[in-house]
Amino acid sequence: MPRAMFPQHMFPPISPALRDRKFTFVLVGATGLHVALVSLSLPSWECPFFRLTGIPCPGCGLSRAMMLLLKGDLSGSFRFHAFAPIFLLAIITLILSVLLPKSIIQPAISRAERIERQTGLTVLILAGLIFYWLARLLFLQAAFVQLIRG
Amino acid sequence: MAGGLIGICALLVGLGSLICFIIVLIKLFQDEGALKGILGLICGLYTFVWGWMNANRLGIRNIMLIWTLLLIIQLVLNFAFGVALIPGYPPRPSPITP
Repeated sequence: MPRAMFPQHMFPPISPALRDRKFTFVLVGATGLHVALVSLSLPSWECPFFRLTGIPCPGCGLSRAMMLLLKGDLSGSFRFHAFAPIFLLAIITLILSVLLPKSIIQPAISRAERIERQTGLTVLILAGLIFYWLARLLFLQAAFVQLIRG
Repeated sequence: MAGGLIGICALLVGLGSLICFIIVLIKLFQDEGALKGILGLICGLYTFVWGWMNANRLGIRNIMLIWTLLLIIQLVLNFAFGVALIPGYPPRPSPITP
């Protein structure tokens, strides 16, 4: 059996979460509510870091980017956050893990966990996200802050 | 005067919210590892939901209650005073022209 790419203590974060249907259900519900409120321009969850410091965190802009992506505005979505398609795919996966019966979803989760461990895909995506955030902060800070502030 | 008071209130609520977020985020890092901790840093909503799902086990129920209360206050402030800050609100009656 191939060795995991990363140390054992760096558990893959996504696939084990898919096994916890209760947690996934609550997370999907909260995310859906948040995106719905944002789409209606109503007050919703605000990043505590950005609210106090005025500096966007790595996830700032994702909600609006995903909303624009759902509306078909690809360029608008990319402007807000380039990782929106990945996170939207993750949310769709979470929704499917809640809706589909266990007999269908369990083999898929096991396969996903294997892929996560062997390729370190989640680590790469999270690392890429951090670098993307740092690049926006260092080279486009004013525009970045203005975009998030709205 | 009222505007300044509301601003200070919003600042305190924001500060409290951030402190609660950091406390729960540290718990997330300790309990679930680095990757989930980074995920919690990126998505504060994930940290919030995780905090509530594990509140009793980790003994952070009070922190989560305080954080939830602060969020509700924040939403109320945004809704009440965010509306009032819309340009042209309340709408002025149009002048009668002869």
